[in-house]
Amino acid sequence: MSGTKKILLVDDSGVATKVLESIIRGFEGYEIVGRAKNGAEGVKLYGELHPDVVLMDIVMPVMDGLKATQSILLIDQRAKVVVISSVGGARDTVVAALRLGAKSVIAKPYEAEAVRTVLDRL
Amino acid sequence: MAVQFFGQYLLEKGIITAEQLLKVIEYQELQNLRIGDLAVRQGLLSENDAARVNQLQLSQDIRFGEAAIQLGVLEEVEVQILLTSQRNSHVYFGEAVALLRLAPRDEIRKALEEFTTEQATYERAAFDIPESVRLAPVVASYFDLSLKLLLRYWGVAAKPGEVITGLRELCLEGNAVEVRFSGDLAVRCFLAAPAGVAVKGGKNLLEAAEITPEDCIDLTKELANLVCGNLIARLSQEGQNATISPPEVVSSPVVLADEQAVRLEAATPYGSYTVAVAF
Repeated sequence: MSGTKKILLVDDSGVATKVLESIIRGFEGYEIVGRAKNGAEGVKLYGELHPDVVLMDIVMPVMDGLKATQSILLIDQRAKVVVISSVGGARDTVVAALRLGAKSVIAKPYEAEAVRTVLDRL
Repeated sequence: MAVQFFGQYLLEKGIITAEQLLKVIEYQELQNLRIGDLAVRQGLLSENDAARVNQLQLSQDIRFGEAAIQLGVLEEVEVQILLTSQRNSHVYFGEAVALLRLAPRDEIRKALEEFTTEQATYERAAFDIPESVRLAPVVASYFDLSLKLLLRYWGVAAKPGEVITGLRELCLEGNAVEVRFSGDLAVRCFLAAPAGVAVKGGKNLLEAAEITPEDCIDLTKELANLVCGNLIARLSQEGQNATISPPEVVSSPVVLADEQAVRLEAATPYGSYTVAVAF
């Protein structure tokens, strides 16, 4: 299993998670190790699972993706968080996420090729 | 792909990195002056007057030029000159990438062509919404995106019916969800899809044979999120900033207290799809 990257998915939408899981299952070298339904749960699971990559939705109940990204980067400044922008790539949200330290952004609905490109470049 | 910002498109295509995207944004922020800053730089306004204009602009939610004319610190012709000058000197994202030598011009041009073609599918449809409805363009935009994204991601074509205005109560069939907007725009957007529509969407998206009732609700929430997210992007291009709440399930009928709503029903082969905005 050496070289396999562990991924944590954080999204309140079960359907969106299923779609993303099926895309990532088609890639070699990646393994989904955890799923969280909101930002707070995502932060907690990050501490427990130490994934290589976090794929983080932005609009979520309890704690949104931007706050969760900030919290994860406070715990581990080398964390690789990719935010999932379902807000149509609104410029301000994308820039805010990257300024917080997110490594990249993926737009919803997902396109396998875009997901692959972003993951491979991390 | 629901990307509406060229920088994100380049990032997703792997043409630039996140660090480079931020570098371009910083460059644009330095180069692309706001109209007030431009007026000060060109000696048309003092910093003091510019601050007064900003204050009026914020309190009345009007454009800088309108506020400046209202205060009598700029003439209409000066505002026009400033706007032209601002437009002519604007450095677009792709241009900034090339100027900073982050990617070859040919590659940027090709990416821009692809991006523009993709964006064409998001061009607005015209809805006959009476001008008496406050926020009519936003409502039209929301209805338009709701139908387009329903077709694009759920594979369900919907034929729009009549726009009903002035509603104090909303009847929504099937899985109904609400997204609340805050910021420059405080509205509530509703989207309701009958089970048959959501099942078709689920099969299209998940490529699964069976779609559970929970999946149907989840799908409807996700569609509402996507539509409202795209609406935010459109609003932000027009200088309005809003944030959205996560979608919540609502039960019908929705009784509106101090608001009224505009509703559009659209016929699909699986039942009626309804979208509405309360303001």
